Amino acid sequence: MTCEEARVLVHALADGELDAGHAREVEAHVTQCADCAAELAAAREMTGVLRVEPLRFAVPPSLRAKIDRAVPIPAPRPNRRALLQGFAFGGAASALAAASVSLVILRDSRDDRILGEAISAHLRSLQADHLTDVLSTDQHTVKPWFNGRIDLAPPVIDLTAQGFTLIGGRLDYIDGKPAAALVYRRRIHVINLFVAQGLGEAPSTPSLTMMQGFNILRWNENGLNLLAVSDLNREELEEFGAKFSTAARAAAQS
Amino acid sequence: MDDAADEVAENVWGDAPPSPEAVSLSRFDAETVQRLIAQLPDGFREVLVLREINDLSYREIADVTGTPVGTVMSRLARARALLRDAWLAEEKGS
Repeated sequence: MTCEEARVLVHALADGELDAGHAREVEAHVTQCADCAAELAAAREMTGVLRVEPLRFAVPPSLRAKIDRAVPIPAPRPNRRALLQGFAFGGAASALAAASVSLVILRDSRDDRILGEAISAHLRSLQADHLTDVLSTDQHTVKPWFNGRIDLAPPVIDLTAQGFTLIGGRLDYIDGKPAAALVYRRRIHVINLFVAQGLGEAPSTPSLTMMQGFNILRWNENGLNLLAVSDLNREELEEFGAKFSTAARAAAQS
Repeated sequence: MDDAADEVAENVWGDAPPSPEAVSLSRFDAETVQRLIAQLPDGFREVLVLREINDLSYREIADVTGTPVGTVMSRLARARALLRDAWLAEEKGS
């Protein structure tokens, strides 16, 4: 690999956009070439510095719509009920997004504690190098792993095709109750999806809250409480919730 | 599978101490950084903003801008180099 090629590819490597083969080549090159190694470090640092709050703003709805049109999303099998539910969910998500600028969510202290514990569990999973107990991108490996470990069968959905890669599962605890943690990745962002029972009065429509800088999406699915925690932006976390929900309902009916 | 785990681990643990260059950029207020970005030529500013500010993937940027992914990649590399030059110049001037 020439330095000229590497100077471009280090940026894709820093952005997590390079396939494994090229990533290995670029990594091998930067161990040999101080200039390209410096370019890689500079790209990473610039990204870190630019990703500060005052510079970030939500994608305008018109642009988001253009992106959604440009990137077709594989639709689940047509099914009238799922379709109607999908519309209901999408409508609720859009309404939430539209109202979110001035949205004030009042919670009781138990809700605060549950959300706080979900964030703590999310942070622990990243800091203690204990992201997954079962490491697999295969939903048929992750789902059975929970058998006998927890008294519920979490819906495990592979959303790789929709841009959210399943990377594994883990047993965790929220509010003193065992919770199945499903771990997804969107680019460099990790999403912990906690599935549990009896976690207070979860809202009937998906509700997005920001706490300690994390976005938390909370909703109910087939009598289970779901809580998705991530540093991902709110639009994409809502997109995750909508896609997960649609796929989980389709799977439950099939 | 191990690759996926390594990648996550690297992203989670990948905080190196900032270089003097990064420190110097973070010293600028958001307004200055926005002005420097605004001064970039159109095509370069577009990919930089879509990537760094709007957090889009290369594929999404390619679809939105109607350019091949390879072009997105090379423009982004160039845009970052231009921005770096601009802030170094700004620092020298200030």
